[in-house]
Amino acid sequence: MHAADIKIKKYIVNITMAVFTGAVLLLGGCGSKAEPASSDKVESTDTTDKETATPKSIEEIYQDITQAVSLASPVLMDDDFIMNYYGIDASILEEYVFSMSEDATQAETVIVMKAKTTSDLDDLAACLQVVVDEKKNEMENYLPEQFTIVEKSEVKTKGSYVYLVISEQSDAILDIIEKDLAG
Amino acid sequence: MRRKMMVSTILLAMLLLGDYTGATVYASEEKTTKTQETEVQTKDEAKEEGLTEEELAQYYGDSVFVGDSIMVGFRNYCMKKEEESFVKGIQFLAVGSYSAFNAAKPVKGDNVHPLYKGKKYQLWDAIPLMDVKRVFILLGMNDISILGLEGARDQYKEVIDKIVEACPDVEIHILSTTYTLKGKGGGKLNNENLAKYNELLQEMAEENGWGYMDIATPISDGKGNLAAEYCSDDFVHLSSAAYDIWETELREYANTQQLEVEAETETVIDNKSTVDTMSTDKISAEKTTKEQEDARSRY
Repeated sequence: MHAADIKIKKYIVNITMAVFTGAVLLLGGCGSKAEPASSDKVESTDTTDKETATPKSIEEIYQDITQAVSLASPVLMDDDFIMNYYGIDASILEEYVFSMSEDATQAETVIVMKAKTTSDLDDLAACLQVVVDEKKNEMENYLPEQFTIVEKSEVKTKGSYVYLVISEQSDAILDIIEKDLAG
Repeated sequence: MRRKMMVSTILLAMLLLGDYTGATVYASEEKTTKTQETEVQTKDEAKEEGLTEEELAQYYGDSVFVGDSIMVGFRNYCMKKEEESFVKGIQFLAVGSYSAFNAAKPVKGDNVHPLYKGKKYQLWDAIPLMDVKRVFILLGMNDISILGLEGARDQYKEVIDKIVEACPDVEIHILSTTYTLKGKGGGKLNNENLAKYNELLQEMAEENGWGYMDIATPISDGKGNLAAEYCSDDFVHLSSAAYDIWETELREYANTQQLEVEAETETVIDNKSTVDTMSTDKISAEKTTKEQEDARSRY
């Protein structure tokens, strides 16, 4: 092997090593940068998901309902009422709206509740079923049209939410609730 | 001369000061008397005006209102009121279609009973849980057609007797049934019968020492019908305006009840002081006799 050949080989080896080292450094750099980027990307996706999936507050949902639908003289019931009548402890709720018609001959009821913990959802759903049963009993032999409306109603749950709509306009009200909960 | 002038000045000053001080004392006494008079006047005025909002809230906060859909309407009306209203703290055991007939049925299946904390109860089981001093009860409108007037009254009494048995210390106050719009009743449920039924209820209340409150007349048309402006459904249910009248009537009723209690208390106190005076007189007489005997024995 000539000295010139050896020089060329050394040169090639050096270049190869330099390229390899550079590549390792670059890759290491990507690696160290990729993780947060990747994390950023995940977070960003998450954020995007949250942005699109953040439900409206129950107050906002109720506002949307009352703006779109004319409820029959609704009265908002308070913590004492929901406890004394239906045994619902307001302290387990993050937020809620419990609206009933002031007129005793109208079964119209709109209830949306957000539980602090999902483990309470079944109990809450059972309490709202009591509302349905009570209305059925009240109306059955007395106001058949209202009874039919109550019969169509159903307690629903979604995520941390439980809701019940008894109304002639239940389809429109449920659409608003479900759309607003979807965010 | 100078000394004379000084003495005169001092004397004049003393006289003036004396007068002034006297005037101050007099003014102060007059002020105290006036304050006392004002206090007495204010108390009298308050008595004439009746219970304060706090006292009314206390009176009705210690009450449960029982009834049918007419009472459910009042419950909803109360829920709508501002926090400071005395009706806001009333508790309810009310459900549509309720009646004395239904109240007597067992808690089973679809039987109609009011809810308390998510469960159906018979009245005499629910009321002891509620820590109340008085029960205002409005039933009967859904009974007349089924049981007739006397039958409905008897069933009502049975229900109240069971409540009293479970809670011997509660006061019972019966609310009259309200009327239907003119000509809107049907069968036995007509205004003539409702008026007769109310008479029966009033008699029953008097016989048993229960309160009776006429809430039908103030919202009637003066001819034994529900006034149109107080009707919400062209039949029998009541509007907010009708419940406004109820609120006023409840205020007056509580005042009347309070005055009766005060009158009873005063009578008891008067009787007690008469007994005390008699005892004191007896003791003094005995003492005098003993002293006279002692004196005699000394002679």
